[in-house]
Amino acid sequence: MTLLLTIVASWGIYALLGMGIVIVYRTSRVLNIAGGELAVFVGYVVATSIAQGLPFAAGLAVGALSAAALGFVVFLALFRRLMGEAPHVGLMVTVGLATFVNGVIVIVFGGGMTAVQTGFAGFVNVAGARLAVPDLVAACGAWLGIGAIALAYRLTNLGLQMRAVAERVMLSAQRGVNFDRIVALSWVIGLLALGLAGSLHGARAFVAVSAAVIGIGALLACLIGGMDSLKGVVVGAFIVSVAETLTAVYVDPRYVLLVPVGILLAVLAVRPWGLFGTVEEFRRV
Amino acid sequence: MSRRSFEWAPASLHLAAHHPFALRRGWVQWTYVLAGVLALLAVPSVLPPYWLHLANLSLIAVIGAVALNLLTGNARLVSLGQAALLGVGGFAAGLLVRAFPGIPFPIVLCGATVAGLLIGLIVALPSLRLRVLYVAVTTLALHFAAVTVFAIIQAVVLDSSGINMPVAAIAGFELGSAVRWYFVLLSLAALTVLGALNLLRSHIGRRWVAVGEHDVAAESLGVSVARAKLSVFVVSSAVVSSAGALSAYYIGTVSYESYNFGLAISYLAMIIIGGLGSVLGSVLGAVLITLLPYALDQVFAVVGLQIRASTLAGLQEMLFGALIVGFLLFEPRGLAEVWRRVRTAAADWPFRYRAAQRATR
Repeated sequence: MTLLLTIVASWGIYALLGMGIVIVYRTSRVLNIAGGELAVFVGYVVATSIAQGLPFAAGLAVGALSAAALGFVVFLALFRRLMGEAPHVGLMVTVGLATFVNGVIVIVFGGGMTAVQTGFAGFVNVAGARLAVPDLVAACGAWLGIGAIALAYRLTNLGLQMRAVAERVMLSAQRGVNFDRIVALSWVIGLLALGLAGSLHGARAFVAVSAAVIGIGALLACLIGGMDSLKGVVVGAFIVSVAETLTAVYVDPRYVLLVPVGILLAVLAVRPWGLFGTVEEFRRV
Repeated sequence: MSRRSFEWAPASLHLAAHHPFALRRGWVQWTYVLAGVLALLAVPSVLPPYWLHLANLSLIAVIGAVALNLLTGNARLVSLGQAALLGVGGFAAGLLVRAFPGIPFPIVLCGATVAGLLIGLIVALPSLRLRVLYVAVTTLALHFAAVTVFAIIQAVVLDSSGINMPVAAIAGFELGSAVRWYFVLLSLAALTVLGALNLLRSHIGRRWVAVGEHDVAAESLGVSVARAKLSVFVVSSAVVSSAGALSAYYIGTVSYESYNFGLAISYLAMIIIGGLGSVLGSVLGAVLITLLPYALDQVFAVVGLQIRASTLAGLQEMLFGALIVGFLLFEPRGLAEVWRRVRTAAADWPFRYRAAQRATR
């Protein structure tokens, strides 16, 4: 039961991070390596504002505002200029962004280890199992976030436009979709997802520079599931979190990254476009 | 919206027309080459020991950066596994030294190169089916996997905090001082640079560039994309791995902590800032990025600002990130292009442009 909760919580956080990466990738074709760093940055914002005396909800709101602003600024300053460039350029820009954000974290927040104080702590007993309350909070928050994003993506008009851009840019632009605005919006939503995941990870475990490694797990989840599929990310995140949790519990916490990497290589050998990715997306010679 | 086409340095043009190291038979070029060689040979008698140490570090970085640029700049397979490959070289050298005490330095170097070659082959195999973005993430994942493996080797197999390397010696000539290291590293770096230039001029390098430019077009023109990708991965990894072994010997210890992701990023920064796809760019970028932290230190010391070490590290990271992003956005061909512009401007002075050369080049 405890194990199950751990898996559900880390599954939710990886899926949320992965959604933040995939939503951006679908509209702008930029693979965001900096996901983990950006998530940790927002996590620090939330942790610091709660430490300043704000209640948990207000801290999350501050985090959401700063995440949205950050996403907009990142898009406006960097990726707006890079639209239509070859994909590896965007990728390398995100590598630079990751380094830059890391430096900012160290200078602004000191880079030390802290945590997001949710105001909920301790354990509850459910059916004879001791469940950590922060894990429950993180799991609920992450799955609420995933549900909200997925519903908005499927049901709202803007979500429809984002899907149209992802399907075919030219056609959607001709039918009146404001491409620039949609890509900016996808960066904002992506950063919101990343930020929420970073804060929840901070509530569950800790916020630190080294926590940016969750971005690697999320990237693995995206690749396993297929870079351009939201459904795939959720499945990929499930695989990654199960593999990681079981390795950490039954083998050795130090080997946590090895198993998902092995799974990724196996998946790529059989289905290089990922479990749910579009095959045409993956041109190969 | 800016839809600027992203131009990469076409390797062939670059080499033939404007490269200062191009081995063209003209007395002007030979004079340049001779002056450059003399200047490089005179470096140890001019520089104080500390600076010579920095020069040695730069030379090792030059070897690694030139090799990475073949892969990432010319074949355009973005590799984030540079630190892991350096670690492969370092750990191969360390384990060889530990298994066979007294093993000669050149043999260890060859062993590390072969280890890098094999690892490169293994990394290349999935990349045959993958495109740019996937290669980047696979190498990123492999970096973390490799560092985990290094940590396990260090903790479980060696039960120690690292491997101490012996003093390197080539046929009885002990590399005990920075000056001796300088000449060995200089000749190895020169070998790497010349080798890369010649490879890029040959059919092999042209295939790499063709695959990087457009893989489908290359395949339809008869280039085997699989063989090109395999060969560029293998050559690059082998050279990077030997650079890792060199640096292990030079620094004197091997430990997994030194092969962190920041190292991979700093190598990527070298080739982006220097100029993707340009050998000269790799050299410039490697020297600049190696010296940058020390220069930053010096600047703060001169200004008299007392700042904490962590803040300095953060500032350095911000600077690296800003340089990577800034060069990609505003000078995608890097310092090599800046240097070319300066050269052309100096050669054409007092005119703004050369009348005989058409702008269509």
